[in-house]
Order: sequence, then structure tokens, then C-alpha cells
Amino acid sequence: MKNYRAISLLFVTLFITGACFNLLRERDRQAADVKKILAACPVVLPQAKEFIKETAGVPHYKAFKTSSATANDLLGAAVVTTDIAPEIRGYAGAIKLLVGVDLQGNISRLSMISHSETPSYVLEMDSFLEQFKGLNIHNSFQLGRDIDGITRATITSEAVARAVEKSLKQTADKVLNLKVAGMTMEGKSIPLEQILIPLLLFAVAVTGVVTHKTVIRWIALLGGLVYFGILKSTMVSAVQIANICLLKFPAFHQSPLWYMLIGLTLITSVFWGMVFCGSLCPFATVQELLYNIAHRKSKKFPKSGLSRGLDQRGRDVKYAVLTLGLTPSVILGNASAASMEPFLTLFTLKGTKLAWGLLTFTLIAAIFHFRFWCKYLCPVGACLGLITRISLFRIRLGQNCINCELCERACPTGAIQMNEQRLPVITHPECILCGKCIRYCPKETLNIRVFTKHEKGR
Amino acid sequence: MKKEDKYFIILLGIVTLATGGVIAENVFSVLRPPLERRIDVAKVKKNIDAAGLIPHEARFWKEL
Repeated sequence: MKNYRAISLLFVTLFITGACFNLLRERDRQAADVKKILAACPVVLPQAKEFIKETAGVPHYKAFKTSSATANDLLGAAVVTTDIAPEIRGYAGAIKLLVGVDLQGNISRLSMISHSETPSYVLEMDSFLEQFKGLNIHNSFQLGRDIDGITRATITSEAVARAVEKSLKQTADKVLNLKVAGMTMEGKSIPLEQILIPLLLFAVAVTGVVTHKTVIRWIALLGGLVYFGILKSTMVSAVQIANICLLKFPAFHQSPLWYMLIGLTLITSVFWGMVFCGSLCPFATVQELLYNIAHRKSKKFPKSGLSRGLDQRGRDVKYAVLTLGLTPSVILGNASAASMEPFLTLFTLKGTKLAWGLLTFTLIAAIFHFRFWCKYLCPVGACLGLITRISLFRIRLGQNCINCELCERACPTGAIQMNEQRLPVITHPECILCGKCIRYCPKETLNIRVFTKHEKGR
Repeated sequence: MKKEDKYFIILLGIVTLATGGVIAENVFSVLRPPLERRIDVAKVKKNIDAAGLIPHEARFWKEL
């Protein structure tokens, strides 16, 4: 059996190191951003020859036509969005943009200073930012109506639109003394569906786990596929794990779904185990559908022809993938490096050639091996699997086991192995709580029970 | 070694390599300096002038 204690310790160390490292590096990043801002000032206001930083009131850079920098030479001002609207954040933290505003209150140009958004989600960032050029204080900045958002990156697009609008209007009002129209999106209410639908889906998933009913589990799986996958293109990913490690969080009012998804996944993992992986993950649903369709005519328990030793060693790859994704994210201070899951390509229909290749091979492999990505490569599954070591309720063996080995044969993930006494031993970090072992147990010996203290040494 | 084992090793190897490749792509996209710094605008302008070209409708070039 794997030494899960050592693996857990490794990742806890990586997490703590990452958080500390990021806090220390944040100071250096601020200095680097100042240099970038100074370099971007002539880009956003190209006619200006001189820029003078003003820190009183609204922090901004005054742009002047000549180096004499008199009031008559004033051309406009450049402002950093995070100075004006620090509360507006993208999916993975602050999006720092320099906004050039002329004396009439028009946006001359924008320049991206820094962001931590996932690259594959924001491939169209440059063309998205181009739309703001020429907009002025009388315009509204409604996403979808006035500005086309980046497809499948609504949180990022909305954060940029709101931050640019607020920066423009505050600069015009307080720096350039212009009469400004009201904010387009101020007072926007929290999207309740992003709170209620995840709650409902997790409630269905937990019901499926507790009652171990296949129908309920599939309702949750298909609900997750439609809502998280097709509609929202989001799921618990290595990027989110890396962002937590780097202490980068979106604002709750902008992205309640992020908090619901992460919060409910962690809560259910601590209580029952891998509820999200087993009953809600949209990519796992796609893989299970492929496998079930391919094996619909095979016998009751399709048996993998793979050697047990190779299967067990193959499962270690996911811990290597998690380390490989987290380490550069921690070193670079940017969670984007961890964005490797093929679900992104599948649900956003965007990705590099290599990402498409990865998706294709993963789906081909999923036809032959049950949940191929989840079992062997998923970094989220690796991380959540380690959390199951402290789960309160688990599938446990009671009295009266007749050593029939049905549970071992029924387990689709191979999480159950018989020991020398021919009693089932469950590897909880590999268990997706599908409940098959419980259903097929003729003596109802296996069931979800409170995990007792004396078991913790196992 | 069984045939299934061989196919599995090949599949897992390909997918692991592709995953590593995607991570590497992401790392490079984070490390890559901004476009402005990679292009020496003054040098490009000088070369364009030397070639006797002017920009036409933003995307195309025509001779002077």
C-alpha cells in the first residue's frame, strides 16, 4: 500500500512553501509592475512626452505634451485599475491594467500590466482590450451589449470591463474634472443561481452517496455535466488548487460559483470523501459515458486485463502530475502553469494543438480504461484523495463478511483489494463512492459508517 | 508482458508526455515577455523606411 502519509506531508509542505514564497515575492512583483507601468505610459498616451506621478487623491500619471509639463500642456492621465478598483478581481486575482484617458474623457488605449488568469481561457485578451479604445465617460460598459466578452471567460471579461469603467469615470471626475455618467454595473446583485444550483447538485450527489443509488448518482453526474461543464465550463481544477496555494482568490460577489464549488468540494470531502470526483465532475461523466457505451454489451463486471502491479504504479503518476503542475505555479507565482486538464479544451473548445492531442488521447484511453484520466493522471483527484484520509464517514467493513470477493470485482476503480484473510481492504484515496460494493455485498457488510479512531493507522 | 500492459504503458506514456507538454506551454506563456519588449519598434520602422514601404489600411503594405 502506498505511503499516503508521506505523500500528504509532501503536498502540505509544498502548499505552505508556496504560500510563504508568494507572500515574499509579492513585494518584488510590485516593483516590477512599477517598471512595467512606466514603460506602458507612452503606449497608452503616445502623444505625451512627459509623465508625472500624482499620489494625492486618485493615484494617476499626468501626461503632458512637452517636457515643461505646464497645465496648458496637459494631454490626459493614465491610471492603474488596481489603484482605483482594488476590489474588482478576475478569476485568479487582480488584473492590473493601465488605462490612458484623454482630456475629453475618451480611452486612448489600454495596456495589460499583469494578471494571473488561465492562458487558455484568455487567448483573445488583446482583441478584447481593443474594444475599449475610444470608449468614453458617456458610454456604458455592459458586457454582451456594449462589449463582447471573451468566450467562456465571463468573470475575467466582467472584471476587466468593470475595472476599466470605474477607472475611466473616476479619473474623468476627480482628475480631469469632467461630468461623468453613472456606472453601468454598480450595484449588480450576486448571481443567486451560482449559489443555489451548486448547492442543489451537491445535495443530490451526497444523497446518491449515502443511499448508494445509481440513478441518483447519475442525476448528479448529468447535472454536473450540464451545469459545470457545458454551461459554466468550470470545475475543480489544478489552477484552483494552485491559486489557493498562492492565496489568490476572486471576489465573492463576482464569483460565488468559485467559492461554492471549492467550499462544497472540501466540505463533502472531509465528511464523505470524493463526492465531487465520483458524482459531479463533468469530465469524469464524459469518460464514464464513453466507457459504459463501449462496454454496454460486456459482462456484469467488465474486468481490466491490466496487471495489478502496473495499475497500482500507474496511479502514482497523478501525484507526479500534481507536483509538476504546482511547482512551477509556486515558483512563478502564477497558477496558469497548472492549467493542464483536458476538460478545459473539451468544454471551452479552445486549446493549443498539444492540448487537443492530450484530450484526444485521454478520451481514447477512457474507452478502454474506466475513468483513465481520473485514475492515473488527475491532479485534483490526487489532492482530494489525500483529503479522504481524514474523512469522517467512509465505506467500512462490518461483521459477517463471507469472503465472496464480489465487492472487489464490482469496484470499477479497483480501490478494493482482498488481504491475506480474504477480507476487503478499501484504498479510500481511490474510492469514488459509487456504492457498487455496498449494493453487491450479499451480507450488507460494507456500508458508509463513521470512521473510528483505531482505523487511522491503516 | 501482457499485450494489455504494453498498450497501457504506451497510452499512459503519451498522455503523461502531452500533459507535461501542456504544462511546459503554460510555463512559457507565463515567462514570455510582453510583445512590446520583444519587438524593437524603432528598428522595424527603420527597416520599413529603408525598404520604401508605408502602411496601408493597417494590415497591408504598399510601395511609396
